[in-house]
Amino acid sequence: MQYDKFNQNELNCAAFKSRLDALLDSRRRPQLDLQLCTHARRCEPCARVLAAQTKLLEAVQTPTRLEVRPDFAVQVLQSIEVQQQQQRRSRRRAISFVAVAASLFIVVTAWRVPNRTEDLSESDLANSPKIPPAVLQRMDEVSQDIKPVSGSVYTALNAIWLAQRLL
Amino acid sequence: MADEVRGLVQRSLAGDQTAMLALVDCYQGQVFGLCYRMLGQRQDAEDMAQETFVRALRSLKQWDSTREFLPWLLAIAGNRCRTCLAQRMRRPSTTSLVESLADRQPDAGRARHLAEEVQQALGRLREEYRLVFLLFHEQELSYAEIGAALNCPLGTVKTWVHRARRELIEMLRKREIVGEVSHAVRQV
Repeated sequence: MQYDKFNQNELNCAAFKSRLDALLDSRRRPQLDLQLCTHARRCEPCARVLAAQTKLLEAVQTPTRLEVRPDFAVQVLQSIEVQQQQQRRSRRRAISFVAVAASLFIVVTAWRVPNRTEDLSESDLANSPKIPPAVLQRMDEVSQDIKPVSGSVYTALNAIWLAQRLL
Repeated sequence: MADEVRGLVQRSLAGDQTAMLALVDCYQGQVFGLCYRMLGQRQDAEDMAQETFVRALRSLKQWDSTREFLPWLLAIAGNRCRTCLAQRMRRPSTTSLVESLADRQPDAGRARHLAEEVQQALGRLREEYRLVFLLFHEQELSYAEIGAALNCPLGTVKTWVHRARRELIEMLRKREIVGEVSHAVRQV
């Protein structure tokens, strides 16, 4: 800090830095600011800072003459197209996978359920705990409700599978 | 300009490829410039600029049309560059971070040397500092625009820009690029 050397109208080093930041923040040219320059004339380190900032910003704001290749925009559109195709393909693959998985599940379930009942012997059935008639009746009702839903799901899955095959 | 951009965006959303091309043409210089400054390599910068436009065009619906288009686009570019830098950190590279501009800038001399030194110093800055510094000083976005685009408090953006300036000066001074007192200051 070299404040002691200056009179009270002049900035000290801390005030110099704050003012410099404020000027740069408002995009004004610090080298045209009287107070900053007055301080910089007497304070070597601050003068260096001011010169350095000026130089730095000139270098940053000088356009780098680098240009993108002429077909850049076309390539952007091409790569969007490629990405969309990939997305469509992966979506189709996912739908196919779900359709196959669902079909397999249905087939396996349909195959396993009758087998399981066939495997049970008469004695097994006789020894199995009795289900109350009220529960059996309720199960019947529920299965009647589910039937159309499961039928439609099955039909829908078949339709998806068929659509996949056709695509 | 803003209305023109809004029109282009609307047409792009409707699938008009001419509008998309116009939109890319309009901003490719700024996006590529930011990517180049962030990454220091032409090839990476081109790739990231391309990725930026692909992402932007595919998510145009997310752009808030009450705001400026450029800060939104540059925020995407900044994020792409930071991802690229993170990937670069993970894989060892034998190429130099900063590409020489010698064969691209015909006017040799001090200005080019300074530009290269500044580019190198930028490469050593923290990513967030570099991004906000470039958005403010090179792309001339306001602090509010940068804050909104990067989802960052305004005070933080301001602090980062100030720190970036100081650190850059310090680096350039250490390299004896900006040691001397400018003649202009002396004469005032």
